[in-house]
Amino acid sequence: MEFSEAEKIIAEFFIEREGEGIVDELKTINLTKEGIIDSLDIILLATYLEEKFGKEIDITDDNTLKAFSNFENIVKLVL
Amino acid sequence: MTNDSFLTCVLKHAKAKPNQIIIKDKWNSWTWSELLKDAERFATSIKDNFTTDSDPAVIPILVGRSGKVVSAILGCMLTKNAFAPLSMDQPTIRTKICLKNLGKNHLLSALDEHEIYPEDLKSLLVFQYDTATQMSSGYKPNFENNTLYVLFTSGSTGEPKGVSCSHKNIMNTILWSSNYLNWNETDVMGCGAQFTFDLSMFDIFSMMYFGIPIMIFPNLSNPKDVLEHIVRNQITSIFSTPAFFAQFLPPTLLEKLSNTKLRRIISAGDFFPPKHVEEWQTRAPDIIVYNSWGLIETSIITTMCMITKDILKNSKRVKSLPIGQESPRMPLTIIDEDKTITKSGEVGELWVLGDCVSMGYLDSEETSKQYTTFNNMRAFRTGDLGYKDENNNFFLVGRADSRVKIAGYRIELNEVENAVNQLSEVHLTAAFVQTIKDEHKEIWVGIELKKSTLDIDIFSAKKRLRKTLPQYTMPKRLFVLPSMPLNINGKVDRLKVKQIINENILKKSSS
Repeated sequence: MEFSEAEKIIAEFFIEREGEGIVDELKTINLTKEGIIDSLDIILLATYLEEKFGKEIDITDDNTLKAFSNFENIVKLVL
Repeated sequence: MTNDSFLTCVLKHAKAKPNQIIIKDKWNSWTWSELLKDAERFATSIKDNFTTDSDPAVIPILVGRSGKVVSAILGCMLTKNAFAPLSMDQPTIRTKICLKNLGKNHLLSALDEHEIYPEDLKSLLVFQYDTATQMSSGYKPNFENNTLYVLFTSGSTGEPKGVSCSHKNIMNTILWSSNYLNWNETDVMGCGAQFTFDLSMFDIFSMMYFGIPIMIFPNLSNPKDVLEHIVRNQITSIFSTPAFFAQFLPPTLLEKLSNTKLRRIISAGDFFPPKHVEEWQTRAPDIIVYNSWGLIETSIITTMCMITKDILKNSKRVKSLPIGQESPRMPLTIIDEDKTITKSGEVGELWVLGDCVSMGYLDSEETSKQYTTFNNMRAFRTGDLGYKDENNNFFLVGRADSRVKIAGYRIELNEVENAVNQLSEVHLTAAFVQTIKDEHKEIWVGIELKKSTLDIDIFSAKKRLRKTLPQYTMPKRLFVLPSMPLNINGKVDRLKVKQIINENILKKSSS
């Protein structure tokens, strides 16, 4: 699966926790429904994104929270 | 079965079968009469070198894998003293702390001449004499309430904590065990534990009481070497940890074991995964597996259960093996947080009662924290959590101190380990809590893969785990370790696992 530079950085977060095996499914999977990230992970991921992209992520916003269930929507949060 | 003292039993065996080989190690063997002579040499050395101002004094013994340890123990008993085995393999600083706790400046060497003396301890060692003087007062057994031995446990802080057990405590355990282990004339015990670990005390005192020969495995972490000793010495019984028995799971080893005289293995000291028992029952069906439970403080073992096929089948449903039932010599109860006895199926803390409850810790303050009374009996609060089913079988679910709270959920790390252990690629597991940032906590698991498995797809493994574990107990990360670190007693060393992952694996991947 092809990844842009930003996508690679975000994918790194998931690969560290889920292993390389997640790469093929990362763009198609529902991350919250599959149990890959829960509310505590979202906090960690938000901090990770803020550190890597220097962009503030407001996790109190419902739409932002919803975005965390899909990889491509997460990418949109930082671009 | 009589209540003879251990010393009286040894004298009876030595009189009846003076030339029977009773101990064998890598270098030597001892008949009953040689054992007794050797013990007298130790006794003479003890009399000359150790002031025995307290009655009895506790004689520290430096131990390795030599059978001399048994004659040194007997030497202590002949002089009406207690003993404390200290490992030659432990850090010298720890040995010195133990000596300080015992109020002693030197220690009796029970090492074979082929074993390497720890350099820093050489000046403190007292050796066995070449000759023995006749015991002037003859052999007089010790009082049953006197200390028999002191064993040091690490405790939760890593500081050595001395536990005193009396003759009466250990005699109670040995007499109780005869209800389960039908020893016979052909039995030979393979000593599969370090002499500083209480499981080896079970071997030694069963030998003294029942006259069962002991063969000491020189290398506990080499299954092929152990197998060779089992064959050569016609070993029938081994009492050790699940990690020791797990060494035989790789292909062909269990099949080879099933062609030996080994007729039973007794597991204690940690959780025996049902998946491992299944392998034993399938690949070595004539070897009976016993699951047992106890603590140093409750005089080695308190419950025992022979795992039949039916029991194993049920264990798959409840995800753990029963540890056995209560018996008159080993009263046991489960207490909830309100100090009342739990109902069937309810989880609480296991309290052990009666004669098996040891004398206490060397530190009386520590003793008062865990030793108490219940129904007018001496009681020990084990810190182990478990429940009793409708058939009065006891099950463990974890340690009170391994119950963790993450995001408001109470989680048993043992449950997580059990689930990970069910993965087909996994051999051994160790779960722990990792603090990430701002007190954010996660469960991480270190795993050792089966020898036949080259790699594991973590994503696929976690997908399978999500089908068996609730979301809040899911380990966030799985780490493959080349081999699972074991502590000196052969149990999985969870603190070391955490340290290896943090200091080696994580640092390596971030650099």
